[in-house]
Amino acid sequence: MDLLTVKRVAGIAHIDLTEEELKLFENDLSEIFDLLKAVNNTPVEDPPCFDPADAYGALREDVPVVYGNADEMLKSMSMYNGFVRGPKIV
Amino acid sequence: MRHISLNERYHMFSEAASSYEDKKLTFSLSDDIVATGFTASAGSRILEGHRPVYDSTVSARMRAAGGSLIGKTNMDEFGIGMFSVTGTDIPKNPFDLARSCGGPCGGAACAASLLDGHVALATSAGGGISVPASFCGVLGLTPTHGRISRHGLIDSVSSMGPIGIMATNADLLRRYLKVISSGDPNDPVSAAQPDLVLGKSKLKAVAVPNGITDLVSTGVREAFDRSVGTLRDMSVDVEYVDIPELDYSMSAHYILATAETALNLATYCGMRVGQQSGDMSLPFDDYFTSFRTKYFGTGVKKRIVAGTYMTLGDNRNELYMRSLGIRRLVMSRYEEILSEYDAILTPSTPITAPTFDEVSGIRYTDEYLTGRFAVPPVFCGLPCLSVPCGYPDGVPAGLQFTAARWNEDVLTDAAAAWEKAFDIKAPEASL
Repeated sequence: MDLLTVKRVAGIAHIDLTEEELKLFENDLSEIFDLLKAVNNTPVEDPPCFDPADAYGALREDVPVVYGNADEMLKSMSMYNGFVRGPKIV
Repeated sequence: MRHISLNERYHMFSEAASSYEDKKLTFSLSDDIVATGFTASAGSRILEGHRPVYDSTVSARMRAAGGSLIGKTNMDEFGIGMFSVTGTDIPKNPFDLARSCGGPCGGAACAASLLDGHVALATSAGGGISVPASFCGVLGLTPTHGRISRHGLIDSVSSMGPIGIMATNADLLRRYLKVISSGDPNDPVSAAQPDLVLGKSKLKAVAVPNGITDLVSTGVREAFDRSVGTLRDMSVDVEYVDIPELDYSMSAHYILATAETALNLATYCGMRVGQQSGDMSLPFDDYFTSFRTKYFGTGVKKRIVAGTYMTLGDNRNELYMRSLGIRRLVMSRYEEILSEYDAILTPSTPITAPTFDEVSGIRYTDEYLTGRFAVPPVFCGLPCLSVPCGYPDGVPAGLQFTAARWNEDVLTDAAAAWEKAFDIKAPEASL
């Protein structure tokens, strides 16, 4: 993973890296990507396992509930006139 | 109180209760499991001061069973690390203050080791229980993925990372595994589990992967070889078998764990939870970037960058999807072996607890490979147990049993049998 790729991917992930971090990440990630090359030569089996519990579709009933502690939860958020504050969009 | 005095020396708790009722069972939660009355930062500055207003299911169940929550334990930031040195504080090994407790949930292992009759609950997305249990000389049980509700867990890796138990004896593991298990409507994955049955299985036969001690330290190898002899003395049939598929786990785990981490941690951006005092006049992209840059630690940033890369463009099929297929393959091989044997036996870690000086010099890849034995079961959602098996140079080494899905019974039996056959030492804790 070269320096430019590290920088580009970090940007996509909304992270600015210092020059020192860029060099460290380039070195460490290149090293571990050498280890990851093994996946290209490894056999695979279907179906892909997204979750080892294989509990697809095990959902609770879709019943609306009133969350008891909503007011308490809002106390820990930065609020303005009853709305959660966020940065400007336009 | 004793737990506070010990904390001043060993730094196991990120937050400790000022008092608790005498004679009550005490328990702790790693800092990524939420509970009312305590902060929960998952070891990260980005969640500093975060005070959840609800109890995780495991916390509620332990409290309902009469347990007293005495603290949140220190861990690597968002469970990313093998030595518990990247969180908000660094726990010290009970056997040697100059050494790591292992990670990511080192504080939990430290608490379990030092406090009498204590039950430490912690998480394991890649060795988070077996590694610190091994380094700190306690028993660590990682249950089947889906056995214990993860409602109230600050999650970084969704498809792995069960909540497990560390304690100093098998009876505590067995008793409190029962308390925290069973389905929970708030975690649909846990709702699909079969009943937990304990006390029916016996450990009779184990498989040891050929060449398993080729890349471990001399002290660990000697402790492991002696343990094989002890198991045979216990009339357990020990056979060596070829399981090359286990070697595939580490690369595929890294790919899946980093991809899931990048996705899950996208939620932390200076709004709703944790740190929120930024410059609201910034455009939203810059605002989010400023928080993530300022408050995430280096190890977390590295994981996010790696994980973002894993799902970009062609990497989605070549790395991410391929790793899901590798997981299926490894799971099948585990299933095959565990239909013939009660458990697969490995060391818990390739090394014993390193000193903090040594940790600072360990290469990134070598740090990750510290989990080479602890990661594969978690990667496949299987239950495993780490028990102390020797004390090379005065610090513990661990032995790991991996069982078939939902078969925690054979692991609790193994723990009970092992503690009768092997002299488990307690550290000489000083205040």
